[in-house]
Amino acid sequence: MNKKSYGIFNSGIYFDSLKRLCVPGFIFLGIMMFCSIVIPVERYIEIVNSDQAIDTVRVITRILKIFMYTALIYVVVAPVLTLDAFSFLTSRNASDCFHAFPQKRICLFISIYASVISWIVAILGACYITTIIMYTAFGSYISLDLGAYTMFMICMFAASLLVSSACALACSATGTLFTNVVVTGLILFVPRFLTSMLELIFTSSSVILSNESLIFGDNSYNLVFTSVQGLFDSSKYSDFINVPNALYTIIIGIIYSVIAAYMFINRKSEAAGTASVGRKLQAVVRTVLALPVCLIPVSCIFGIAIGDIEEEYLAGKVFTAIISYIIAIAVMIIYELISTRKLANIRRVIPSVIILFSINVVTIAGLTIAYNIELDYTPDDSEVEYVITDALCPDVGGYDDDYFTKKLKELQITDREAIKLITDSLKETVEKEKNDENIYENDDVIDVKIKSGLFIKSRSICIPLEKLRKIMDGDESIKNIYLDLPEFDPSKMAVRSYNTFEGDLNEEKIGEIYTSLVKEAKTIKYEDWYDAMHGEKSEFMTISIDMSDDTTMTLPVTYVTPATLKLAMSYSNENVEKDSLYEIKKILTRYNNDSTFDPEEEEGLKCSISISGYTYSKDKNEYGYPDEEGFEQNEGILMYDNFGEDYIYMNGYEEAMEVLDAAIENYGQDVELPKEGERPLYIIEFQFAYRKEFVTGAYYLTLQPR
Amino acid sequence: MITIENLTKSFDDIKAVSDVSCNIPDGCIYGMVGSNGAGKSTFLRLLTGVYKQDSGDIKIDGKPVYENPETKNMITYVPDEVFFLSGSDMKRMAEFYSSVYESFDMDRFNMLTEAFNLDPKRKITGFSKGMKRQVAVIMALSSRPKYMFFDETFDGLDPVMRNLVKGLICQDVLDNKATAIITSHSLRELEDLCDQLSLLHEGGLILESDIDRLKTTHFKVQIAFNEEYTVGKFKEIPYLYIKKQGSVTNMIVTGNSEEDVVEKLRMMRPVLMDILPLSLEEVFTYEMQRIGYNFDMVLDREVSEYE
Repeated sequence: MNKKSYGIFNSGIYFDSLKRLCVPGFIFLGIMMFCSIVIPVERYIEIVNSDQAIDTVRVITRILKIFMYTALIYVVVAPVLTLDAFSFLTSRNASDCFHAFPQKRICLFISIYASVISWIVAILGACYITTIIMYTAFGSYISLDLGAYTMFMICMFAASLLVSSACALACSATGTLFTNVVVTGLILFVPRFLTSMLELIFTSSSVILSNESLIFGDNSYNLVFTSVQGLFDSSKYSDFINVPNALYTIIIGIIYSVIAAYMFINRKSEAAGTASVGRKLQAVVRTVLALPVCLIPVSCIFGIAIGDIEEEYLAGKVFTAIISYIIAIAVMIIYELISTRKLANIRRVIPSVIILFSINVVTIAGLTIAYNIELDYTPDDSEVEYVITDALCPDVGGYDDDYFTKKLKELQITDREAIKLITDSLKETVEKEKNDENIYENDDVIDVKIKSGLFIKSRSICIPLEKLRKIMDGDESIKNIYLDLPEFDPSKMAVRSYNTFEGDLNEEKIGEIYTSLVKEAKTIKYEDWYDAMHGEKSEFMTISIDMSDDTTMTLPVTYVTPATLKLAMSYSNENVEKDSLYEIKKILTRYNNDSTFDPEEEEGLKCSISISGYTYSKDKNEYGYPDEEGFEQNEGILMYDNFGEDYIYMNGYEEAMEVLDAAIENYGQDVELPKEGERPLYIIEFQFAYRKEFVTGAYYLTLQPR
Repeated sequence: MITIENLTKSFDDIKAVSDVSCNIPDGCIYGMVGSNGAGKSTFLRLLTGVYKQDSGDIKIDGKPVYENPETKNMITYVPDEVFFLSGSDMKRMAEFYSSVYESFDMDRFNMLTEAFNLDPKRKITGFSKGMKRQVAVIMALSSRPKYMFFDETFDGLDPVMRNLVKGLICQDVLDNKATAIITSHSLRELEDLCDQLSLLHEGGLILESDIDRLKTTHFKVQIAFNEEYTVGKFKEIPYLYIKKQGSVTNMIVTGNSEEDVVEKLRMMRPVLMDILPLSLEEVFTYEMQRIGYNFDMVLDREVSEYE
């Protein structure tokens, strides 16, 4: 006996199936590789054609950009290949032919399914290699975080496996292409949809139960389901660089594959061309189709069961429940009639109706029990390991792509005083809820996650927020978020400066400025650094760091970090040509002598020139200071701008000339930050636009006392 | 050897095969005929392991068929509606079959393709119905099976091709002690080819016998008498069918001993008695009439309506 044929895998059938899938396989391979090449090329062209100097800008590739085309692998490629591979199950002749083969059915299934997975792996692998090659080629301009990208591709494979296994299961369970597609959709989305809706019904029953009560697990674990949510919420794309999500999705995919194999082995060949393989499965599909309709009466009856419905609305809810159940039964009957086309088969719906009602009873009972258990969850502070809340973010509901906001939202608070406040507040809130009091009456309502024992429970609680913030003010873990910045890693970060006039600092220099900031942040006072971060200090430069996990860090360069400020100023000065200073002086002198002078008319030159001075205040310990309206005050000496609406302020012309002369004479000298009583820190900012050429710069200097 | 015991298979409420039992020895060419919807194709699919029986036993060489690769490797099956991979040519199909059947003989495939004068590189979708049948037969024979099942394969083949296919089947049976089961509506085809014949009707086996015995145990008698008589006169004669027109009676008689029957009739002193052999078609027709599968009344009604 040749073991090859009689085992669970046949290489002949496997290779033949690979061949059968050649046409769609190569088409998809071509499309995906085309995208892998075109996307980075498009980005490169974008950067090259931008108005800024091209060698100063490097961007980090966002997962979102790659996601958009790579998602094709599980949205289109996996289902099409699987449906094609198992298409013989939809035709009587083909099905009989395959089932006549001298292989066990499990061998047939595994060999064919393996060919589908092989194609998916091959296409993903080709994209992976091509993408790395392309981004390596453009490495000077675009950076790719290899670790994040690898994780992303693993997640793509996980999603593809899940879709493919659902398709294989649908093909094994039904016998027409239409039902294959419909049942695939049911398998992929109905379970999560139902659990999400039940979760919504549950959490809506009490304000204490927050939207993240996570009874059935976070939807992000299921990568296919979460990508649908991603259509409406782009932050969901970060779910695709997450190990637990990949593992969960793969495990579900494997489970579905096993079920598909079982269904395939027990499938009757004569089921090909029919809606489903047997009466039991027909009953399952029928029941599943009616379940979403039952969510309405479940919600009504659950509300009545927990006493959440006022008496005047009771009759309405009961009526709604009855009508919904009638509709659910109608759905089952209609499906039976459409799929079997026999009026007599309506009697087969009766057992399914009984099962449907049983499921409803169990669901409602389960929800009610869970509600009572969850509402009684009031741990003592000694039982709590940590809590998480976003209430400490400076702007609650801050942007999820802000690095610090994300870190704060993920922070595990272990301060015992804070935990006690939260647990006490939870107890009080639960008491109010049970007494049917308005929990919003006093204090703030915040969302917290409480870890006690094995579980993390989410709650909305009424709490004196200022008290909590005061407790946490000075908490080391919060301080560390701001002070302990990540080291500069060009493979995971792209840095750039924000200010228009610093414009052309290249990434290497900005990287050094950032590194200096990281070093200095560890040594300065937290309060100073916090104030600087939140706009309470004069900013001379702002640098932005795009992280590979789709978050952004924005950091100011201020006097709070003097070493960094000096470094930034010296780099900025290095970028300014002496000729530019001469040009500025020439333009201002000519305009001052002849107010009809227009450099655009004469030379086609548009320009913006600003000379200002920042005086040091020992009292405020900073340069320039916010007035009562919060605006920064500086000594605006001169402004000449003919870019659009001309703005010209020449009152400080004499001082401006003095500054320019000093800049030219002492060109290239180090800048020392002036002290109290000394002359201001002067900044000459300019932008020249001559035809398509742009030159920008900011030159810093101080002057000797008059 | 193929052993079938109490084989039953239903589809929903319809019994396609009902309690069928038979034995098919090695080296036999077994013909199966039956009315439309009798269960012939279902029977073959059960033997091939495509369907699983509801009850009963199928054993080939003492081993079950369903989900038994060892047994199925000895079988090829040519269904009434053949299947080919989409967009494939004969070469592609041969590669497909060779990946599935260990004993697939590519040399034999090439030889048969040439013998049938078919272009192996031409897309099968461009072939006529008959040519597709030929391709299916070539695939089956190239697999060097011990058991070959042909479901109405000769339909769609021209007479020359039919002879060729019959000859190839006989060759395999003789040279390799292969066994063939052939279903057909054409008794004339089976008469020339088969050793044994069975008759299937509404899922049940009505008749099973070797061809020669069928011909000898069924004969037609035409008898006449001078005096008046009724058909009750022949109550001791084992007839399948009897029709009296005037003084002449025609009957189809079945029995193990033709001589005994003839002697009994002679004892009645008929004025005329002729014994005529029956063709297999007539045997089939009269056996079916015996179980009520008869549509003569439709013709009689048509004639009277016309008159």
